[in-house]
Amino acid sequence: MNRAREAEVAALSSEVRELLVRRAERIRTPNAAPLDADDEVMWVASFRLGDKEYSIPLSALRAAIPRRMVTFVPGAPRAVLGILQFNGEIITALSMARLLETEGHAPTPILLVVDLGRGHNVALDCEHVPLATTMSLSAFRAAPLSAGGILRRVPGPPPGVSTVIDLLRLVQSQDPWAGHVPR
Amino acid sequence: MYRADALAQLIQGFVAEASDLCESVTRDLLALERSETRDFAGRHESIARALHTLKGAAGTLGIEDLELLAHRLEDVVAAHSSPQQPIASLVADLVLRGLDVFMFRLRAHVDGSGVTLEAIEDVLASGLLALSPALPAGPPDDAGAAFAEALKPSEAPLVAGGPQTWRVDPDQVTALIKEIERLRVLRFRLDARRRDAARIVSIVSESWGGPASREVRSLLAGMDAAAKIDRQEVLDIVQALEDGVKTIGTQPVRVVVDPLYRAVRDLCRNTGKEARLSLVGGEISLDRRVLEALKGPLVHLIRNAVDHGIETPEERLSLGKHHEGSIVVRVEQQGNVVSIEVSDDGAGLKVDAIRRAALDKGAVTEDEIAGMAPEDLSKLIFLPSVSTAESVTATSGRGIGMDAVKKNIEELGGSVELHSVARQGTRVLMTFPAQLGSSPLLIVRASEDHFAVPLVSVESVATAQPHDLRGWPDEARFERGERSLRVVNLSEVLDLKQRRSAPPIQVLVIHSHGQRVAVAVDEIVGDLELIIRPLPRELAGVSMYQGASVLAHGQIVLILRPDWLVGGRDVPRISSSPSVS
Repeated sequence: MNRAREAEVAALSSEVRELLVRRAERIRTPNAAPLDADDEVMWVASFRLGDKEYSIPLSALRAAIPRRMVTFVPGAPRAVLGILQFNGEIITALSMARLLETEGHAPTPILLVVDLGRGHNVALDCEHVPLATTMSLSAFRAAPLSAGGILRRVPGPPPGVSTVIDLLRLVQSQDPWAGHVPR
Repeated sequence: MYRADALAQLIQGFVAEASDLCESVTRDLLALERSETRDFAGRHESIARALHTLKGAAGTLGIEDLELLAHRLEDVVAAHSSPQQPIASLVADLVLRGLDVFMFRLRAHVDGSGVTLEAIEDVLASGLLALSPALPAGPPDDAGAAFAEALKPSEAPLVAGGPQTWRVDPDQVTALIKEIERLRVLRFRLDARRRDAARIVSIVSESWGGPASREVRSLLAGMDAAAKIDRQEVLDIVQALEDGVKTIGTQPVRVVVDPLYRAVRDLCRNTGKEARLSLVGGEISLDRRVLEALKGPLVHLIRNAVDHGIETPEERLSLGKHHEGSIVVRVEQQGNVVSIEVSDDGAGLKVDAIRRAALDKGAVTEDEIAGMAPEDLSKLIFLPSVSTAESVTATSGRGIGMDAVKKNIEELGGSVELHSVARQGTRVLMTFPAQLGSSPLLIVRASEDHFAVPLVSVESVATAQPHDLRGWPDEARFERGERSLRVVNLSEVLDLKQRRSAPPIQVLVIHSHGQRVAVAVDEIVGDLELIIRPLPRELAGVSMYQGASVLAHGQIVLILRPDWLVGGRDVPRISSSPSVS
């Protein structure tokens, strides 16, 4: 904590300070997995898709936006839901379920805007607003890769295994020619 | 110190002007050498004026050697040419080499190495005045030099403003364009507000009576009139800004092709071939970054055309061809899609040699070759290191050309097509999205979705009555007057769910590359001037759109490619998210 911040905190009344500490505790506790004190953690955004729990690195998440104003693109690959405008940029909305070749339970009212690297944003559909949580970095690193390096099943405390998705590989795995309209 | 810095800046500024003047003299010389003009006197006068300006400017800046060189070039032109006659090739050679020396030395003065140059008197004494092509202390003297010159980054500043120039970061220009686009959307929103106001007036008129109603209606009418004026002002500002940005950010294609006339001439002189380079559509302006990226592909293609395509005059005559080969660069723009075709009437690609080269390099296997259609074999030339040249020359044959051409165009978000016929010639078609500027678009509805078509491709719109349609609905043709056009139902070709409507139907007559179709739509909504943006890269494989535009309230409309509507599935893809640097 820098000095200016320390001074700000010191200036707060003890009642407010206590309230803030309690609030921080509450935010941290419910979702954060109990970890070995020495273990490093990585922050992830977790969500359920069908019966499985998936995670993506929190650092890649730009926004969670309502799924509207998505323009359908005839002839696009099957996994493409359409295109939309995000911060003045036209980006692709992709179906996470179709990319993962799994089935979701519910229509997806939320789109997650994620950065695949170098400012390349895409929107991915999601059944629920994801929860920010942590997972053990060593468990993540030790977890075996599957689906051509796209998925990594990381064991953890309840609710159990969470599958971390390599978003760039997932998006690149789609066949860009699929869905081309025959003439 | 200040004076020295100021002078250095002035000399630096002179490079762009000198480059333009040298290009002008080169154009005039080539026209006079080949008798491609009726105005011999005018061309001579133009050369004299340009050389005189070069001399004067060099003298003003105190660059004595260049002043002397320009003066001697004036002497050469005056002494060895007649105002009513073509110019001799030897004289043209000499003046062109003199201009090369001029620019070479000018750049040396700019980078501070001018003091190490040989005295210009020695250069002149060693050959220039004796009409000898040998010129020391100049740039390398080979046919590749002119091609190398054509590849140099443009010295013209982004903003030319008389003696003072600004250097502008292309990203800033792009950012400005995005702001202009926001203004366009604002205009649409103003339209929407006016419609809301009109609706309120209507509700108030129907529901209220009395003086309060009159006052509200009067206020709303005044607001509507003011909004109309605001809308027009926004439109004017958008137009002015866009014109300004276009001027800053674009240049005509001829800027990158002009230096190649000289390059073709020099290469022909070196190889004993005869070829004429023609440019069609050179006035079309493109983003400067696109032009910079096109230089390499154009140089490779034109150099290859002379080196490997065009036969010697004797061979051509024996084949019944004109002794002089033809190389044509044709530029077209439809909406946001630019196509540049480089064609020659030479020998065509040696498909057997390409196949052998690809096998020798291990780029393909025998099995892969066996599975390829004959027309696809020539496309092996796009593989790295595949060349059919029997020897590596100073200008080509290292096999680093065609794959680089493909890579450059793909980096622009485009694609390359190649067609070659033995003994008839080769045609390379590069298609890519333009980067800057808005395009007039016609918005149409098919089923429940809206799409746009570049207005430049729409020849006419019509309501097709039952008697205008033959073979409806499966083999429909739109017949009016002498014309019978195939009907393409937009909802069907886009696989949209719909009830098939019965005539009368709305049709757009679309043309592209000399072909026409009648496109049946459910509604013609209207025309708009919009900026076409590339589609995200995940849609790189979708060939029917050239991009998308943003409407009021952020809705996106997809822009259909006219060549896809006309030609169907064989249309090359325009990929997306170009990486222009």
